[in-house]
Amino acid sequence: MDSLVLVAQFLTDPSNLMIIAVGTLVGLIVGALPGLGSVVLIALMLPFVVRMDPTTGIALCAIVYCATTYGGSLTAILINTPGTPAAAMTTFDGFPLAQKGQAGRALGIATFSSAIGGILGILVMIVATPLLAKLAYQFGPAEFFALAVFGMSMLASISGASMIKNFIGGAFGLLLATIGTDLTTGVERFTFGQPDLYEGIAVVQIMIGIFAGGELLRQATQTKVKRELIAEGVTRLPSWQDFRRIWKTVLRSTGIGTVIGILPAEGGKVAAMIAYNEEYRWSKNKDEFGKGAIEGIAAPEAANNAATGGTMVPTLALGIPGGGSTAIILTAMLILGLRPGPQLFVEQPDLLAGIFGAMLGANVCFLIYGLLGAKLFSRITLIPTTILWPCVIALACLGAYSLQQSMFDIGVMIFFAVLGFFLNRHGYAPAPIIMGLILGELIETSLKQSYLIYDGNLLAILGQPIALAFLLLSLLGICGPLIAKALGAFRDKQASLLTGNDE
Amino acid sequence: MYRLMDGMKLVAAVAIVSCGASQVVADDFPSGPIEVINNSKPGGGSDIFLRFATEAAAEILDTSIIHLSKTGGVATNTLKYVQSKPADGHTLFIVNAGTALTMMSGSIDMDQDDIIPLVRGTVEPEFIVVQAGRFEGGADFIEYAKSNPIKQAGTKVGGNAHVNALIMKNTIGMAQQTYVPFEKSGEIVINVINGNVDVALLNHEEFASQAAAGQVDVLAVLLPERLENMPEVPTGHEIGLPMDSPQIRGLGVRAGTPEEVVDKLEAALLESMKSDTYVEYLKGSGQDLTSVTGRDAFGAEFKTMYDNYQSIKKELLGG
Repeated sequence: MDSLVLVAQFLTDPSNLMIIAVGTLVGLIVGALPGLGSVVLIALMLPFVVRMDPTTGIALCAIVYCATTYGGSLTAILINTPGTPAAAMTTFDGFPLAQKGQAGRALGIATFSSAIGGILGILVMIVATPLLAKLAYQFGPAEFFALAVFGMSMLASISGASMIKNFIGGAFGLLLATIGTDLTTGVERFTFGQPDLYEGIAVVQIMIGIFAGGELLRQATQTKVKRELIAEGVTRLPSWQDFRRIWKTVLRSTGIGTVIGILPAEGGKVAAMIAYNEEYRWSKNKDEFGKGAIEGIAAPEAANNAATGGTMVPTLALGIPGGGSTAIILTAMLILGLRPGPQLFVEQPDLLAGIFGAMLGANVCFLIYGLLGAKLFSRITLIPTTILWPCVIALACLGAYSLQQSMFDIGVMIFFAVLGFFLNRHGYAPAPIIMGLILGELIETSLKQSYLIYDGNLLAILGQPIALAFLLLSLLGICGPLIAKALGAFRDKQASLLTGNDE
Repeated sequence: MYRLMDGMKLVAAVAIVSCGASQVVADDFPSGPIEVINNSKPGGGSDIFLRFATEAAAEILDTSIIHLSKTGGVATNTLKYVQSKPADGHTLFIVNAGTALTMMSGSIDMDQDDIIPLVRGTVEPEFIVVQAGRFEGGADFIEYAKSNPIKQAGTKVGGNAHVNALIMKNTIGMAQQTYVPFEKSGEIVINVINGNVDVALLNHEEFASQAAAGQVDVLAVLLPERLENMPEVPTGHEIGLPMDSPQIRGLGVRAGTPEEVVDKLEAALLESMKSDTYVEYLKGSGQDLTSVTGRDAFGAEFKTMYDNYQSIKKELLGG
């Protein structure tokens, strides 16, 4: 309870509110720009942050971290280009809904889900950080391997395309993830002696290419198709019915996001993916997914923003960063003379209240910006395609270039744009490819690490309770629908036998 | 007559230029922004070091400083980029163990004579870290490692941490060492705590919170002398592991850069690293200004590192 009082104190200080308002705005813009994300922004801010008062400095980092995660969804919905990797899953339903002339509704759902996910994630953090942090200790390679397998278990049905095409797409994503120097052997794979490929291909380049570039080329083939969008419909925000429809989704996904966020080294992108999978798995109207289901926007957005709170848990409570951004926040803390760890909660309640308060404030702040801005931003979809998409591609090139200041990355982006166009034409959805790409590295690395740890006996993975549970869940996820189908057929047969209506 | 005049003018001009050349070069430098090339990703440890180290230098040299990340093949892409730039002092780059390692691996056509290590900015000692209560002490661990298989965690194979693990294995005479690589140091310490691996070499900031919480034990610091602020931790030499492997980071320029420019850069960087912000940065990892040295000391240190790596080249490259 004391901590909540301290949080309230932080939030009533006008100068703190000012920092929240400005920090959130900057984070939102950087998050929306494809390529740039919180890691780059916080790294740039670092020399200034360390000269601030410790609480303010770390709070500012936390604010921009929250805001960039949300910002990524704006471009994902409006121009099919995830501003951050964590927003990749948001494109699958966000962009189709915007294309239907309901951009305002899509943005409203994303904003609402992000803020609720973020706020609930932080409340969990305030109450239970020291307790939750212990979860991080439980996750070794075996557990990560099982988690990634669980994520992949939805591969077959993740997009409306045929099962075979989903498998081919997933396998292609896995293959892409193997490019570069292998962590466990030091061997270069599929680099063709090209130094630019030593580190593999950044997920960002592939995503910008497949999503933005592929869409540009597709639009280019349809310049004669007239789209009639009415401004009033486009800017309309979600209705109460919409909120009633998604609140359960938001709660579920917040839970998933918080837990995955806590795990070391995993962040928003895996959280968003698993939340989307689970929403799809349990949804009664699967047909709508990929075509603009609001649950498909709510799930990844609630999860990736909840994961932002989640990744702060091990950072603050254990001094173990959960991702790239928190690693820099940790450095900033050390420079400011703050030593994260269990004792931080006893010795520095003000600092923690500041961080939690700032994150809460940032979430409320982007909720306001987002809902106010949705009416304005949604008009982007009214811009004629022939003007909008050339602008998008310029932005995409800039995004691909900005990460490493390398022309090679633009080439990679263009390659994937062309590839994305043809894949789309032949009925291959991007979802399974992105799934393979994001989870592929985790699966491979954790499997190899397990191999080394268990002296080549991979069955030992089954001896780890958490890993076993995830593997059983995956098995259930894969076989469940088949068993249900078989059972259903069996019952129908029995019923028809009983009524004597067998034809 | 006309030609003779021209010729004389030319001679005079050459004479003037060559007399005043050195001064002119130094005065004109820098004639544009200075690029600082980093071999880790933006936000990585080396990136952060470079940002703090060069922050005040921009003002001192009255120019702007641009940070670029050229990752890949340890330092291969960084050095390739540096090679493509003129040796005029406008391109600085990180010099660390990765630099020596990359030169040794042969993935780049450069050796130690092609670069000038300019200033050293950090010396972060490495510590032997094990699960709390697992061993009685350093000597107990070494005794155990001589006759039992050891799983040692670190970062990617072929990188600096891997090389240090190999040196450790050879120095102890370990019975069997399985190297388990992880992406991030956070994962390493977790796997030490949950018992998936036996030991890891870590920097102080990577395990300090865990040590304070009683989750890990520190067996030794790999330095010639005990640390002043941690007098209770013995050195590797005391427990039977005579190896020193502090993580060194500094900045360098291409060989062939005019001497006056090198002097000017060295002075500017040394001054930059005396700034309050940099001192605070050093404190963050338990260091002080003794970590900062100039060209002579850093050059000699880099040479030692380079030669040490050459000696284990065969084992690392597998033949």
